[in-house]
Amino acid sequence: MNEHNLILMALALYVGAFVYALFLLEGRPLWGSWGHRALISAGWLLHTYALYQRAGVLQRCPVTNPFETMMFITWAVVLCYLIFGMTWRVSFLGPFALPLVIALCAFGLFPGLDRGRSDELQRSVWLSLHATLSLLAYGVWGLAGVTGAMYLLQERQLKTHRLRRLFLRLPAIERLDRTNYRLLVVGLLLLAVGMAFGFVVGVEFIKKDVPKTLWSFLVWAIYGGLTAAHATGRLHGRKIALGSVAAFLFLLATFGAVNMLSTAHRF
Amino acid sequence: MHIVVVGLSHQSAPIEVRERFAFTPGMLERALPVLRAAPGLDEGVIISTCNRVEVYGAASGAADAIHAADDFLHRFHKLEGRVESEIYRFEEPRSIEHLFRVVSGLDSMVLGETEILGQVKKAYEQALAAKTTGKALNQLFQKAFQVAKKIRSQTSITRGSVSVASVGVELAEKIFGDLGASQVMILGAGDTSEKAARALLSRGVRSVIVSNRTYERAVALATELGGRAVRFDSLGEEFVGVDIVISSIAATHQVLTRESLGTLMVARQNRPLFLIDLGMPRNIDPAVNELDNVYLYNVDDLQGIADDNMRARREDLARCDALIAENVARFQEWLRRLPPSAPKPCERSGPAGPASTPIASH
Repeated sequence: MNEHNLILMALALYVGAFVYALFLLEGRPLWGSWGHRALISAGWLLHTYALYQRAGVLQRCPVTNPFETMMFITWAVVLCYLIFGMTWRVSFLGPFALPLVIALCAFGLFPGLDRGRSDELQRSVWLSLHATLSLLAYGVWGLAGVTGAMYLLQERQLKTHRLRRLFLRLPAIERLDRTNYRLLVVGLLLLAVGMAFGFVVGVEFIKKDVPKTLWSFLVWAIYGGLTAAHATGRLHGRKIALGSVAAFLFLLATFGAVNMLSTAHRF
Repeated sequence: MHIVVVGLSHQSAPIEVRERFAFTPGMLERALPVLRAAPGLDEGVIISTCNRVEVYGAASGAADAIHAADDFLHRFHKLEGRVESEIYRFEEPRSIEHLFRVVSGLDSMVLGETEILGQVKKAYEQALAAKTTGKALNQLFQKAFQVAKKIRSQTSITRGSVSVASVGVELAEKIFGDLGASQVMILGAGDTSEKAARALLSRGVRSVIVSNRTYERAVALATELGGRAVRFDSLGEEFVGVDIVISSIAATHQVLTRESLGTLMVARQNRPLFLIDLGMPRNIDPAVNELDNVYLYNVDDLQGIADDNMRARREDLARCDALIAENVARFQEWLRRLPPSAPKPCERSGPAGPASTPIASH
């Protein structure tokens, strides 16, 4: 079975998990939250197998064209959810992260996106690591954006005193704020290491690709600023949540364009 | 086999009548063997809470079982006159439906309360230990607990708080999560503030600070709540450390304004602050709610949420009834297939045997 079909099946399971989550939010679960987790995990396993299959062909992490990149980012978002959901006890993120995963997966499956490969990425191990870690960071920040959106939803209900059904299902805003901050830090570290691997490739290579390098620094600075503002107590709660959502939207909106401008390391 | 229930609750009888039938834990230990020996009843469970006293029985004849349970209730409590109108006596399917409604909190004083489930479980376990239950009642109570769990998870009947104090606690938990690290400040030693503070303490808040215009009253309340009293003029310093403020000061001016709180929030590094204004006139400028990370609720807001939650619970009653009806039908089906139990030794003696076993008194 080719990777596209595997991703399609994974996408169907993610959609199933999302529909199941809607029942969960309504308080009518068939197998409780376990059913939801099982559907997401099954989807992620298929997703992983699709990437593994493609990696076998490329002999590299499959992040060499827009299709692979989208699949890798969405895979990273689900992976983060599965890891942090269990270790930080924030499984409530799942139902809210799924619309993002589904939308990006569906976009990645558009015809024509699985074409053309970055030769540089195929040649250099360092550049491959750089791309992998950077995309993992974007995945983590994607989840931070979802957490931020959840914060804004819950905070609005608390501010307006209009408590809807969702109010009881959403976690405490302080818990969301803490989770958001942790995800910002994890993403920041991943991108920092990813960028360091990029530097290993050499200054010559960076010179060839000024827009992408500058953009990466800008993204790192935006997230770095948000993280620092939270750590020092300058910003807390709503503003950090807004920042998280806005930063990820900026990342999504500009990623494609910067990639197009990139001459050396498109992914 | 037939299931019956004989009893009285807050809906059928006033407390003056209910208390005459109540069983204390000690009395229950003596009552269960007496119930087991009652002729006409093969199995029995006694539920006695502040809102209800009920005897559930299983027997081969429904009318005899009702008579036996009724007789047991009167004779055990040595009641001379018979109480008729306040006692309900149900046969199937109403008896089964009644138990399902009771354990699900649908028959409680506060619709959807969950304490009753624990109370019924305890009563059933006591009956089980006293060996007064058999196949029919064991199955009935297990089914009832399953139904209660289903209703709890599949409907909104237990969701949302329905009293002002518990709404305050629920909101605090939706802001801070675990309240173990939170500090509460009470401004003014009012009755409702005290109730709200006690509710928060029961959820594990770290500490309580009390402040009042009369310092002695603050000290008295702080001692009662296990907290600390502070003078009214040193409130500003304390504000930096608190997370929840409950205010009910009799003042003509606002104790907290948007400007003063804006400055304090910077000193607090913008950590969230939950303000409950129970004062009349209001103690806190409503505009503080516009500040980031500040959440202000007055007594009308809290009552409004409690009312909304109660309305949501009532709206889900039809779904609960449907779930119960479905499970009652299923249980009756099972009951129909159950073979009648062997008669008790006292009943084996036939018409010449003793007509009734003497009821022990307490």
